[in-house]
Amino acid sequence: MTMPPPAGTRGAAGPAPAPAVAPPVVAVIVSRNPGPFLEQALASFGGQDYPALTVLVVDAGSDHDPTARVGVALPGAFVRRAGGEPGFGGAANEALAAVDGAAFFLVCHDDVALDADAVRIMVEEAYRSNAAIVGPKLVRADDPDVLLDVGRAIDRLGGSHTGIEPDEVDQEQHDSVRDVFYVSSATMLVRADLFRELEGFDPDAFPGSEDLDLCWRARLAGARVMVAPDARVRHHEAAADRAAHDVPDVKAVARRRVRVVLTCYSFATLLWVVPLGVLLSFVEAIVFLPTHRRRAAFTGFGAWWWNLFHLGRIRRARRPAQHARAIHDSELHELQVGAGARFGAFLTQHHADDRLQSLGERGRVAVESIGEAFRTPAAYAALAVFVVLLFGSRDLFSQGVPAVGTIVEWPGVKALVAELTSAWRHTGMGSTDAGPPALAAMAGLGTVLLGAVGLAETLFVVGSFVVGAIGAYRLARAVAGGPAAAATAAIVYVLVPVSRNAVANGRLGPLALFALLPFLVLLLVRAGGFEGASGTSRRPLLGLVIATAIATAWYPPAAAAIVVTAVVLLLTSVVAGGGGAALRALGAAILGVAGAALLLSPWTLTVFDSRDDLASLGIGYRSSLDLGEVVRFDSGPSGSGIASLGLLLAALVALFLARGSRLSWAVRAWALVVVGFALVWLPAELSPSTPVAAPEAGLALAALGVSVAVAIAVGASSDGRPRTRGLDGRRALVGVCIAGIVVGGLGFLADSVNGRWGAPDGDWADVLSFTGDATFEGQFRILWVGDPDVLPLDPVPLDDAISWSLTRNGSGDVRELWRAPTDAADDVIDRAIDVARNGNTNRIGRLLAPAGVRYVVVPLRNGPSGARGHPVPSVTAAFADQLDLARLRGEPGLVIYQNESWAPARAVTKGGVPTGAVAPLPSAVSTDLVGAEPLGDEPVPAGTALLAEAFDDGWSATGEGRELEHGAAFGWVNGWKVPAPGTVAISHDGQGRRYVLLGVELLLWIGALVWWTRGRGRARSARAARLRRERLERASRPSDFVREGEFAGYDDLDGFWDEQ
Amino acid sequence: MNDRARRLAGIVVLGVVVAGAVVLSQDDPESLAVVVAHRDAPDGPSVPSERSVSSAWYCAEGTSAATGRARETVIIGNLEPRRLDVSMTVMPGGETPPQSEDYRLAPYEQRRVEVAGIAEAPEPGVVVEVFGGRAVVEHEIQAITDEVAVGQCSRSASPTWYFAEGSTERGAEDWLALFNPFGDDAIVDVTFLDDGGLQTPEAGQAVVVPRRSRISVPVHEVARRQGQVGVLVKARTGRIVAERSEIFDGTDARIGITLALGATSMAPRWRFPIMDAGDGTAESLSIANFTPDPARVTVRVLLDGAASLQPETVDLTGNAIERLEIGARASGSAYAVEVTSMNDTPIVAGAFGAWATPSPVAGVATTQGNIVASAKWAFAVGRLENDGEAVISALNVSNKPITVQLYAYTRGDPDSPASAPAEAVPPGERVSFSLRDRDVRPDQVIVVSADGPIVAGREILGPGASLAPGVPFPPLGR
Repeated sequence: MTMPPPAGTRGAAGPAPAPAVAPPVVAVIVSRNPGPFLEQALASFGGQDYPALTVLVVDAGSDHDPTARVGVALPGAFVRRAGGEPGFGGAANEALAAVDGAAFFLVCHDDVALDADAVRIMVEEAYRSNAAIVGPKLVRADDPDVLLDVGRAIDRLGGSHTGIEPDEVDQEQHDSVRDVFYVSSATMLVRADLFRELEGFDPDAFPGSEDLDLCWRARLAGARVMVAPDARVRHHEAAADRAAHDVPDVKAVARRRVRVVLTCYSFATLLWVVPLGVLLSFVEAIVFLPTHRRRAAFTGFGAWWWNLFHLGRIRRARRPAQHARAIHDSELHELQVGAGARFGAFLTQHHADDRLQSLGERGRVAVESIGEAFRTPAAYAALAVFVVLLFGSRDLFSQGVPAVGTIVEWPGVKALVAELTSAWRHTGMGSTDAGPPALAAMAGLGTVLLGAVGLAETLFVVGSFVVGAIGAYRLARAVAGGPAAAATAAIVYVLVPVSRNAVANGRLGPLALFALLPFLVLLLVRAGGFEGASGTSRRPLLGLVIATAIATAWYPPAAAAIVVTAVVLLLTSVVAGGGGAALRALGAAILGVAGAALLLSPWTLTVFDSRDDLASLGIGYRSSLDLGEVVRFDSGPSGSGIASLGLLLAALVALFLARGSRLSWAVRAWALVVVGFALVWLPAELSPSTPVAAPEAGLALAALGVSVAVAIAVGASSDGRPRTRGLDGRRALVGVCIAGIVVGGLGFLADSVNGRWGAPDGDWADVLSFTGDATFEGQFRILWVGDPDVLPLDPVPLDDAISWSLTRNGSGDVRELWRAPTDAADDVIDRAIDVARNGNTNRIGRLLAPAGVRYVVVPLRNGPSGARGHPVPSVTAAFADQLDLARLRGEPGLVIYQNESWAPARAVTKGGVPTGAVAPLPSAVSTDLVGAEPLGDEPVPAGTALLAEAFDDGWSATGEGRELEHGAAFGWVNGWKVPAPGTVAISHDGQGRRYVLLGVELLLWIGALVWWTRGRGRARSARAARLRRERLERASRPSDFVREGEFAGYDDLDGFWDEQ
Repeated sequence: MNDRARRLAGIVVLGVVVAGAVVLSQDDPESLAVVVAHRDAPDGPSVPSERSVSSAWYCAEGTSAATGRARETVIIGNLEPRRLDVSMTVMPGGETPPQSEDYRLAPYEQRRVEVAGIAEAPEPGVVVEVFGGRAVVEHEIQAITDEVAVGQCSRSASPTWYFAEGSTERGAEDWLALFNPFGDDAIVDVTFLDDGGLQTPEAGQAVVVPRRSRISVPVHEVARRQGQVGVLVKARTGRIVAERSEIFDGTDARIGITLALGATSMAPRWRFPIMDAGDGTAESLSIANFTPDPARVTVRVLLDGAASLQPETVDLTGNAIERLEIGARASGSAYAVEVTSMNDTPIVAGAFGAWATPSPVAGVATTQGNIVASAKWAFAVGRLENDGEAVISALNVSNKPITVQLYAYTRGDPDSPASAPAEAVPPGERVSFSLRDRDVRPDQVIVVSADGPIVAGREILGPGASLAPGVPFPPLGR
């Protein structure tokens, strides 16, 4: 073996020549700003009984040259200083250039200490087992009886598993020599020829994954990786003692781990590993979100995305790894652990890799945190509610969310983006109005889930429960006091059946409002500067603007909800005080709405256009709930009976128990309850024909009031009154409160049995799937007519009891939600239905033919086995009288007619059609469009080209390169005279303007978010300081009640719920 | 405000709100169900409203084949002072596709179209569509023996049809024509009501009326030799139009053909504005109770000149039918009849008339009663031939005097004058207009108008005899 002079200062004289029988081993100690453990490491190398060991210390960019220290500790060692920031792998690779003739490299950290026989045992094992890489048993340096590592496995997603419990004592239970997936780079014996063939470590796998990468590539090349537990190495695990800038960044570690996965798996394996990885990391992120490690929650998730956006690097790394592949991935499965191990690691902390900071490590911390928190009844209750929530949502996860009402199918990301950016809005008869920004949010969610928009929708629906609960927790934390009370608010907010009924009835908007309302109110409280909340500042106001914009994008009445809340706060200030703050809150609400309008422009202009069509804003329902149903939140199949009354009773306790500011908030909370109920009940009582928002919207307001009031009752129950023996009034009230919550919980539990919260176990989309297959005959619309409660999307009201909506090429999807306000063309549809319903035509098919309506559907339920709507005999009788509607056989609860006078939505008819200022219905009824051919890319005969979109000057068509004469066919849709056979191309000229407006909107959002984020750190620090202060105060406050009473330990929930 | 006051105020306000809500909730709100329930289907045909975009008329009975039992001619009367587009479609059924012809009618034009001119078929169903205005459509069927019956076509299809009048005695053929003009098949059950109660012969169950076709049910073969046969047609799926005709071959001195459109609903009150008790005329009234509940029915005969006979009371058990020889009571006079179920059990009533020597004409006629009243009634045709007679009567069903006027419109003349002076009609009385006396031509469209609710009907004498209600403009009520 020869070793050229190192670039750095050479140490003292080299070791004695090794006996010829011993293969030469070069120990490559990679060091960076080493601590005192370096000398111990070198000493251990000096004491090895292996005769042919040479030590090379590679300094990976230390601040100070360690040569002198090395020379003193191990005079025979070589030192080589690598320039720059090579990382561990890059530094270790220095051996490739600096060493020649070695049989093995022993790559080591600088904080290990080897037993005297370690090197020898590993070399012997390498020969005995024909292993290319051999690792030792790692034990804790300061307590060698404690195991750290005896080789590692990985799960399918690259997560590391040692199979060792924390602080597990070494009783030789892992001392069998065996194959492992990889060994730690803390000490790793590598056959030199293989190391060269693999070109050493991948420098880009630093930090954290060099060892896995090397071993995996070795495995792919057909080499064995083994552990020889008889070789024992003490490991200081000194990473935490290093300087801050030497501690690996968590994000970087996670990214490198994913990088290795993407590099080493075959392409076929990646086809399922990547989606699974993204999904699981997202779920992990959700799980970790409420913990102390919230910042790291999305690290794993972000790692996947980071790598998917750096595919060039991955491709370069994959090339050599896959080129050397000699085995199939499946041959490594026995060295990997199954998916259950990943979950097991989360629960049992089977993980010991501090550097990696992977799931297991995060899980351990989270488990500790949760374990600490779950010593309390409220925490157990919260966990129970969460478990029941998952149980009750099981069918939604397994079968998807049925398309009911406004919870309709989400199409692909591309389709969502196309609709958002389109110059023509594809709702109703079409419009030039801007698309709703919520489509961008959906597209974003779908993108994050790699296009799994169905899963995104399910997560949105079920996640609304969780998000709402978190919001209620945070609101209650601000106004009701301790975390126990706040946790109660979160629980109660979920127990109130508003969200469940929103799911059952298919009310997406109210569900979004349910999720976001607590945050809106919290921001309002903060912006107003109420006592117990942060004072007025720019940030809460900006947050309110952004949150209002988000909520309004999903549900336009949310903007009204925040103003209503502010007004309620102002009105209750007469009793509750805080008039100044309430005034500020009202101002903030108005500013919030105005700012949201700006952020949501140009869609806001669409909203302003809705003055005469409130239904397009989701205000199109006719509430018919009586007072009893309203106070029981009984707007759907969930939560009927006394369960909800129990929660109301619990909330009532707040008015009797609370004092001081809590009493003020109890009054405000009850005002919210009353106003929420009133918004639903009064219109039904006083003017049933007045269009209102879906009842779940008003009830969400009431639900929030109830949850806050219950939280205040719980918080007030531990207020410092001396505890007395016996059953006094206060204890009785507490008992009533608890009983009320339990009763509400029973209702929640009962509803969970259904598995889908009362939503239909199917949807009309399945029944109408045959219509989608008919698009090859030309594009078409479906006209839905009936009770607005069971119609999809945002129906257009025809009169008090009947509405209608249009969908395209099937049962519709979310692109047709948040429809553009009706215009003249939509009014024609309106009149056509009305004319038929009043017996003034038997040819509604012809009236609808210019709109491309091929099917007319009358749903009598909100889905198969769904809730019944009001019967609409006048509609079914009228449609049954139509000569050109043929009834098709369908599911019970759905009456389907086929329009026998139908013409495709893009069609060419050989004859002329009435054009110009003609009356739409009379001109349509006397024109037979049957026989019109669909208009596509193929040449069409001369005649009239028809586009079943509302007439707009922006539409143009060319035939054989020449502009065609555009006119209003039938007075309301687009028609062009086609003078000669040929191809016809139709387009709209507003696309450029739309892009510009979208760009402006995007800039506004970026500006708002940047501005808001700038204050985030300061706000978080201030809040953390305040929470610490509160915690200390609570800890120092003697409280017999807490020590002995029923609510002891609630405050410990801080660790689980609270924000850092 | 201290805690005590704040708590008190909060609880008091909440209590007041709850109390107010409870009080307010005691009032029953207007329910949506009520709103919906008001939109019933119309009872029987009516002239389309002025807002009508298009209207369809369904003529079920009649044949257009050479060997058919009743040659059919459709009579369309334009009620607008402007031209109207009309499309007439004959649905022969089976594999033969429907045949259509389009017409443009001049203002107030009466157009007669022989169905055989469009398509010859043994079982033709006819649809007349009128675009952009009001018209009235009737049809005429002619027996092999040349007697004619005229009746209104239907404006709507229905899943249920009732007929009270009909018989299958010797010498009578009783035909039920079921027409399904729609794009999907209908399945119907035909039930008969005779002296033995409800009969549900197997041949009448699950009868398929294929899409866009008509079938005929020979009632005389299913319910043989019955003096009175009520019919109930109920569709299991789909909606149909049902008409009934009877052909008498001269046995018992009854000869000719009848035509009646069924009633789509039962009602507690039926009116017959025109009945004839002249020499040689025999008229009867059939009252059918298709419900299981008993009905106590009062029959009032309203003679001209404010005279009326003592009301007759008829007790019907559930699912029973009764015939009254009403003409014998009012012999020698024209009269009207009002049939009222005193216990509100809904019933169906129909009338039958037979004319023979010494009557100037020989023939038979049936008619369903009226259950609606209107201020304006239309007839597509009055007299059938220049030497024939037709009488149009209007019964004042209000409780105050009204004036009634008859208009006979002339083709192409938007200013057709009123052809008869206004007649004052006291409450509960009727007025009759002889069209021959007023020189109303057979090609004129007729409208009877009043300043109050009336019920109008028409009697045609020659060739044969025919009784039929008019077609009301949008009804004022029952």
